[in-house]
Amino acid sequence: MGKLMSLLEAIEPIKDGDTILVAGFGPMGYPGRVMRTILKQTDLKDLLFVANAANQNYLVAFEKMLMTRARGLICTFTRPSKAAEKLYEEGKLELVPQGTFAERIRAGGAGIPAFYTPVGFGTAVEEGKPRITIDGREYLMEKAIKGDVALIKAAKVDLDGNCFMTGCTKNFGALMPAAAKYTVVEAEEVVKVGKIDPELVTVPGILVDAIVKVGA
Amino acid sequence: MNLDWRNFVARRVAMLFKDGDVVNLGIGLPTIIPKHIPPGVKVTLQGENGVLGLGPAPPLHEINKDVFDAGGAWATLNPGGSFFDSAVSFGLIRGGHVDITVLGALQVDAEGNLANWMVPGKLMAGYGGAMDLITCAGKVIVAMEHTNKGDPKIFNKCEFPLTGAHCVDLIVTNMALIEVTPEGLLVKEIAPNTSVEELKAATQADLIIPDDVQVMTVYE
Repeated sequence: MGKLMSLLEAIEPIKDGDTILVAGFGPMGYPGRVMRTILKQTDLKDLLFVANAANQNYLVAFEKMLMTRARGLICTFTRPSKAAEKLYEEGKLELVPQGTFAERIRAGGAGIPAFYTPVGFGTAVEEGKPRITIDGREYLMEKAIKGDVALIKAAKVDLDGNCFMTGCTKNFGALMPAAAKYTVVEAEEVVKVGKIDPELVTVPGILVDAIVKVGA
Repeated sequence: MNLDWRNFVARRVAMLFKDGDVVNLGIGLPTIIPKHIPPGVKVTLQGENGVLGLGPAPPLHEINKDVFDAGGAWATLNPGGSFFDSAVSFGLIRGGHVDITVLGALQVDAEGNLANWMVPGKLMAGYGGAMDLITCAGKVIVAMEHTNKGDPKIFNKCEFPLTGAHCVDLIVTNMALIEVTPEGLLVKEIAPNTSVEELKAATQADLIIPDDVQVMTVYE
């Protein structure tokens, strides 16, 4: 079965309660069309979102889903987001330092259950986490993040799902597919297999399940 | 010298850079530092959003939507620059490959603790990449206005939740250049037109002010 499909077909496997990894650094690399389709065409609820940031000005569909459809949010930055503030007050927001966030997702996709980092000592981040001293320096244990679904955006994708992400848009989209069971990529340009230089593949196609072509 | 206080602070910070340094600049005041880097000093700017070799903002008609800084502002890439994902980007930071990070603060204290992610009950920004940067960069410089509309920002002990503990090396403000030492805050330079009494009054923390404290000056 081909991976190229409609927006509705691509999001059909997503279920209530799923953990959804959403790519992007602000609006760059953020799969806006897929997110708007989930908001407007489904009733999906109790979702746990994992995304770098919430932003009520730039990521509007995401903000609305955080307000009404989310059981939680794991992120690094929340300004400005009323939905994130609400989740924080309800104890449903996990704030993570951005490097730890990236590495937890990378680890999730790479079969590494946890790792140690010096980041977070003396802050709220250290609470409840196992510690270890290695060569005289203290570290916190951070667990990998895995998701049911990854939603990403690429500049170009071939029909096997090989993705080319340009410039600074790679950010978390390059990491999330390996950490999720099911990955949807949206791209403005979909090309035949072989039309992306193998040296320029950011995400190997085996990690991508659904391809959606979107307008500019 | 007719620099406003922001450009004065930015230029003083830029004078601390050495040729070849890899530098990460936070949002706000630090973003104006690049234009003050002295001639002959070549610095590579890193953006934690996945870029090394950031150049100045482009003219509007030359914006490339793939090139931006960690504050989300459009940027350019200098020759020799490179792009990578966020795991590699923070690998560079955590791995000790970023020499200097410059960022703002809500509060900073005599132990080198820094708070910049929330004001309890009022504002929550989140951590972004600041925690990783201030824990792992070679040198951490806080660049900010000395007070918040007259209220002190430099304390013996931060009141707000911390972004990092024992991490700040240097505080550069419109009133002084202060080094964080095991003995406390050592004032190395005082800005022109600022008296010792004014500096003390604007600072909640105890300050060590040597007799030979220098006047804070920047190149013309």
